[in-house]
Amino acid sequence: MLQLTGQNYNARDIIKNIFSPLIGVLSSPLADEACQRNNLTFVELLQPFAKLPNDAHFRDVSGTSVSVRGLRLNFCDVDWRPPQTVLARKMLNDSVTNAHNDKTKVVTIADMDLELPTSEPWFEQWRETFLTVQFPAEHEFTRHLLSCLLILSSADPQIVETAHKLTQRVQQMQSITPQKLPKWFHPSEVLNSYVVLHEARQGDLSKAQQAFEMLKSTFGDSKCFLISINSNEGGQPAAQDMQDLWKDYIKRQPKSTLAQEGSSDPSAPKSPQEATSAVGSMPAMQMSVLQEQEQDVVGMLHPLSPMQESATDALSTRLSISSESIASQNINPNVWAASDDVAADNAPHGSCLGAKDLENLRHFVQDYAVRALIPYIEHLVAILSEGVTQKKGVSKSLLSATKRWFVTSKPGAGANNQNAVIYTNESAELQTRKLGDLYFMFGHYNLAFQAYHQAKRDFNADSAWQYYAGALEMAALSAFQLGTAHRKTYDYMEDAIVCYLTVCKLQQFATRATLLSMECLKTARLYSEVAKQLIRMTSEESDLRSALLLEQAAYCFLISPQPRAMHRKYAFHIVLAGNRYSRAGQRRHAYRCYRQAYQVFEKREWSLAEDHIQYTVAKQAYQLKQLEESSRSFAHLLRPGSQQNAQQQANFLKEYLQTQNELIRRSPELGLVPHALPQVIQSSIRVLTLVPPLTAQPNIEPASNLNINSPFQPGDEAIWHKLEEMLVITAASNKPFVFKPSRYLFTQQQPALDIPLAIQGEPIELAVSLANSVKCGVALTDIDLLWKLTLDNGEELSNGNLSTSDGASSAAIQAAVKCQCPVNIELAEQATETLHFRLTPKLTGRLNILGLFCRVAALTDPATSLLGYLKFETQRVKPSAESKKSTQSLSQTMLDNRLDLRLIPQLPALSIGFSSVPSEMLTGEIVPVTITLRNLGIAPIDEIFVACDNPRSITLLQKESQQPLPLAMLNSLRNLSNDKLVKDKEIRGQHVCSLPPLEAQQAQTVPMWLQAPHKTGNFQLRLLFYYSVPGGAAIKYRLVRHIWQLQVESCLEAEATCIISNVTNGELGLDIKLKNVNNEQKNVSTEVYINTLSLYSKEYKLNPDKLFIMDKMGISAGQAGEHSLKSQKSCSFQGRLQANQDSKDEEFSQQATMPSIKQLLASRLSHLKIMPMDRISDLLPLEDPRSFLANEETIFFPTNISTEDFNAIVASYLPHSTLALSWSAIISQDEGRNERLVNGLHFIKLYNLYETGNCPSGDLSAASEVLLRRKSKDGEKGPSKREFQLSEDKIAGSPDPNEQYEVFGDEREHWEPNENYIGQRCLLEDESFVMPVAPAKG
Amino acid sequence: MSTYYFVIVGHNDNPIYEKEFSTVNKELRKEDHRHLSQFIAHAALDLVDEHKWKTANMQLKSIDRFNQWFVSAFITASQIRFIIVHDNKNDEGIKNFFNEMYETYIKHSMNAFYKINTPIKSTMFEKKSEIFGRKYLLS
Repeated sequence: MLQLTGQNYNARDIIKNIFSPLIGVLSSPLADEACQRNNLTFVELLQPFAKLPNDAHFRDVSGTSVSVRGLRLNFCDVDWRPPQTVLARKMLNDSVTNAHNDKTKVVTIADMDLELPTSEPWFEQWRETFLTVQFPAEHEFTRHLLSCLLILSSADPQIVETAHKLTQRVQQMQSITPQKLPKWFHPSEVLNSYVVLHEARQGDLSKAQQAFEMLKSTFGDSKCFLISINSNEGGQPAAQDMQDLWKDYIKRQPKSTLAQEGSSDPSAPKSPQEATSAVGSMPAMQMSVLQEQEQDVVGMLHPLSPMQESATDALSTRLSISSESIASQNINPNVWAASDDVAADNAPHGSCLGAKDLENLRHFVQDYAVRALIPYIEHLVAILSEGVTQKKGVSKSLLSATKRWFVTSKPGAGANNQNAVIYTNESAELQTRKLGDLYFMFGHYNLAFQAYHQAKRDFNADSAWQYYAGALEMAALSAFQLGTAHRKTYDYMEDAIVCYLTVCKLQQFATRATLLSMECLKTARLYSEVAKQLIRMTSEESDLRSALLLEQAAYCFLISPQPRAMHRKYAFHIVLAGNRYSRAGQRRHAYRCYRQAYQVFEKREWSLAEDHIQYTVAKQAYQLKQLEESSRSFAHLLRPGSQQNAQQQANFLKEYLQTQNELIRRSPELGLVPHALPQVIQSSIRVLTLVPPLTAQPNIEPASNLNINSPFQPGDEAIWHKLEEMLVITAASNKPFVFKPSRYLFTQQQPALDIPLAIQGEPIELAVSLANSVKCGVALTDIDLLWKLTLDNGEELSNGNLSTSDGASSAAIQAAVKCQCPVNIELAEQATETLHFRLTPKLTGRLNILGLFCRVAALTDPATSLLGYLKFETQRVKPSAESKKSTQSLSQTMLDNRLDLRLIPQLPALSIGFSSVPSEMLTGEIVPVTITLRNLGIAPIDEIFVACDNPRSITLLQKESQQPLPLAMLNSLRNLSNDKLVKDKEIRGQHVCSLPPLEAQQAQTVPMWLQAPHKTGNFQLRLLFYYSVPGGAAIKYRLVRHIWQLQVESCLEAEATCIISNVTNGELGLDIKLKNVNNEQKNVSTEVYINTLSLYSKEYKLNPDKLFIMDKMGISAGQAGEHSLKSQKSCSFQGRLQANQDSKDEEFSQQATMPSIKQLLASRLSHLKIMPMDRISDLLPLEDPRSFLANEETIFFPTNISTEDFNAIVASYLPHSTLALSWSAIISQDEGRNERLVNGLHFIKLYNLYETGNCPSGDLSAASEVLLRRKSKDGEKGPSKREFQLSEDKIAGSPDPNEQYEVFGDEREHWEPNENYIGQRCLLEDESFVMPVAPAKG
Repeated sequence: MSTYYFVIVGHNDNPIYEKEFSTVNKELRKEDHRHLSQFIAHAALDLVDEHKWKTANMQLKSIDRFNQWFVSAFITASQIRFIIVHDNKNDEGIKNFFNEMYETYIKHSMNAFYKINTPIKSTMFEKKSEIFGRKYLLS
């Protein structure tokens, strides 16, 4: 039969093979038997030798000899019939299904590497089958039997009779009118030749010779041939070294072609399974036929509509119901496994044939061609050309003659009369065509072209379009074979196809012509023409054909020379091909095509196109049981940023879950599979370690410590680190070491470069955000962290394979690390949620947190859930700017270790709590706080330190009262500029203080006071506790952080000025102005009571007898006293100063030992009661060294102060007095339902006469103020030695009025513009306006 | 009853702006065609690249067709390709639309914060294309 595949034929060979002379074969039963010994029929036996080994010579009509090269004879059983439609369809389908080629080559086009199959055997197989199953047509003769071989056996005793019988049968076939199949080229005179098969092993050669002679005498010398075969013993393998020559040629798939009579059906299901499946599925198929039919009627199919394969399947099933070969219908074309056919095919062929036999066969073919066939052909040519020349000019009819002259025929002009012309066999036109066919088959392309050309013109004139197209087609092929093809002949082919297609509506022939044209055009490298023709042949009729042609077209786009290679066209057409394959039920090819297309579309952001490809790939892979591929593609469909709508995504999700579940079910060895969604926001992973458990106790708020969600504030961290450094250095008592701050929280901004530590038994917190990237809700259930614990002895525990391990060990694993987490969460569409986990390791070793596992399900369908994990990826750390400089040579990226923790044995733990502090405070307010420390561990804690970032605001009552004088107070007594002071040590001393040690399980409370600053706004106060850990542990100490976040509200504003109240005696007065600035709008009302005014001064004291209230309009009776200052009210009063007679400063400075703070304070303080509250406040007396006055007098150095500034501050003493205003207030909220009693202190420092001091004052801190003042003083007259220097001049100096006025004159410029002040002074002069509150003494 | 699929394609064959115009209201329109439009537009790029050197015009009308869909293209000086897949002839309207969109695109690409070849997400651009689409394509 046709041979087009597997031999690397070029285009000319292929065409030659397609149009090789067809020789009929009819064999007697005995001859058949002889051939069967080789597991072959006679036709098959000849296949490997069908090509003539030598050139044959052929004489054309003019007598010139033409040598025919490589003539190939096409032997064919005369009983062979082209299969019926249904069967042919199945054969075509199978040919494609069974051919595959997994080898790929890589083609680089437009910087893209495309993987393509190295060859397309499915196409070649299909083409061969397609050409084979075609029925011989009326309008062409290449498929008609030229001659016939009658095969006889020498073993036949009545060989001549048998020969006669066969001849009769053949002649009957040949002479029947109208002609039936098979058709004969020249029925009236067919060459019937006789072949005697002689079996060398069995028969006697002489007997055979005898019989042969008899035949010769009966039928003629040239018509009889004797072949000796089967020289080998059958059964035993002939020659192992000889490969099976027949293997490539024999395709037994169309076995049932011989079973037309229905006697037996060799391709009936062989296995019972197949049979049942065929029967079982039939009713369902029939059911669907009706529905599918309806669907087919509904409008045109979308070119990329989802799979219609069921429709086509059903269609073929429907047709097959009427056919006899129902049972042979292969229900599932995707069963690729070898059927029993293959096994049969694998039986060796030609086992009885020796080398000589093969030689005989080869010789026979040559002999037959030269001795019998070619002379016959020459004879035929002579007859035909004679007929043609004779009848030339004698037109068949007058009508056609006129037509020929007057009608300019064009195919399609009279589309309806295509069947108008019927030629008789003897008509000149057909004779011409036959002549052409003969010439063509025997390789005389020149004459063939002429004949076809002539025929073409005739047919055109007669409007016999089918004939016309056939002649055109052959003319084009002749030109191609001749090597004289050019534009015009290609156009012949084009015209032929169009004519077949549009005028004759013969899809089959149009397809054949296209396939032939494809070969010609490809040889001519006209690839785009090929593609055009191939694409034109795609139709809704045959999905399989369309698929194959589209795929070929796609490759054509690609193999065009480089600049014109159209990879995008390729991609589109391979997608279309894939779509058609899937409709035709060719899943594997569909899958392959779509995968090829994806190579082009990958990462090009054609989102919907990509989705279509991925979805189809996923579907096909699922059907092909390639679940992994399938779920990968489904996962891709759920990627973030998809343009699909919610409904579509929900479907994708559902199918993804199903596929994954199926995959897990089928291959349990995969273990946990990664989820495609939700997405882990890898940068959001935060880990917090070394945070002791919270202790829940009534009325105690635990130390705030670090929270896993605390945002990263570099400034804030720096403060903590500074505090830690101070603590550590204090604790280490100046032993040198390199300080490295402890780290607890590891986030994207705070990467873990070292391996983080965690303590056995103490929780590790982990937070991670999950984002749902799809447009439908997702439910996560059974959430747990996935970890791996490597014990110190190397043993590995992991909860990843819990399902596989047995109960006991899984219990052990679960006990190793306890995990607290939300069990279920629901992620709405496109939502992001943060999950918090709390891991408590019960063992030591290395803990790797790998990810989290959970069940994912769609919210709408919680029943279908999928267990899998989400991986936590190790982040790369980008080296920061500084570290880059230092580690230039090191690798630029480091891995983050935050998920790789080291678990260390248990350590002492300190739980710290505080009594509650109101979150809103007034400026200067003072509240008592109790710190509760509890040692949770079993070992004593020896060292506890606490550091505060703002020591000004707290005072610990724990402090021993015998503490050294603050430097600022000390230098009011003597000059410190010569003392050797270490800056850092002094600073540490100010910030750090130690607490008593704690025994195991013991608790202690430390009382302290906290004062809100005299500045409104947010106030943060940080406390860092340090406690040591017994030696030998991986860490030396542990820390507890606490931070108070306070909102400070303004309440009382005070200003004070020292003035000369009595010019005559130089008495100094203090003008105090107060205002309650509380804003009532906030529904909060405050009543302020001024309890006491105290003066801290070296040289003056308050005159307890003189108090003048100058503005009492704002004073009214309040809840707790007669004189309260309500909101927005103000008052002012004046006190008088007198010299501090009992000041012991002189003694102090002369004493060798410095006085205690208490003594100093006591000697310098004086008090004046003003309008005290009825209730007694429990504030510390100001004389107490731990009072806030001491804090106020202390200059707290900023940690970053330079040594110069430090020395300057230490060395300078600015003479000043400090006013302390003790006040109380009642804050009532919500109309008195919520009351709070508040005590506070305001401090005002006074330096110069007539200089107003304020509280709340400006932003300057004490240290910077000192520096500022010092600088300004330096510029003028150097640091003054005394407070209120002006007044001192007045008192101590000679009462020289000139001098006095001079001074005033100096000062005038300072205060003169202050009109208000002058006014007040006037009032003061007139004593009648002044109402003394305190009874004047004497 | 006409639909237009407009896409701007960057240098890496990546769509940077996509828009559909249709007279058919949204409920009736089949979602199916959206990916097909993408396939057709993408495949037409081969022909755009082939034709762009053959003409001095920026406008390449009906360079490709697939079934009932036509493809018209416009190529900017910087080789950015505008493609419209449409199912009825409207050369004049498409030409005008392309010209207006070209101007809009140029303005948008002048934005220092816009990186060439990245998706256009400007609402202004969106609004303009909506206006021009309604004016020239759907009217």
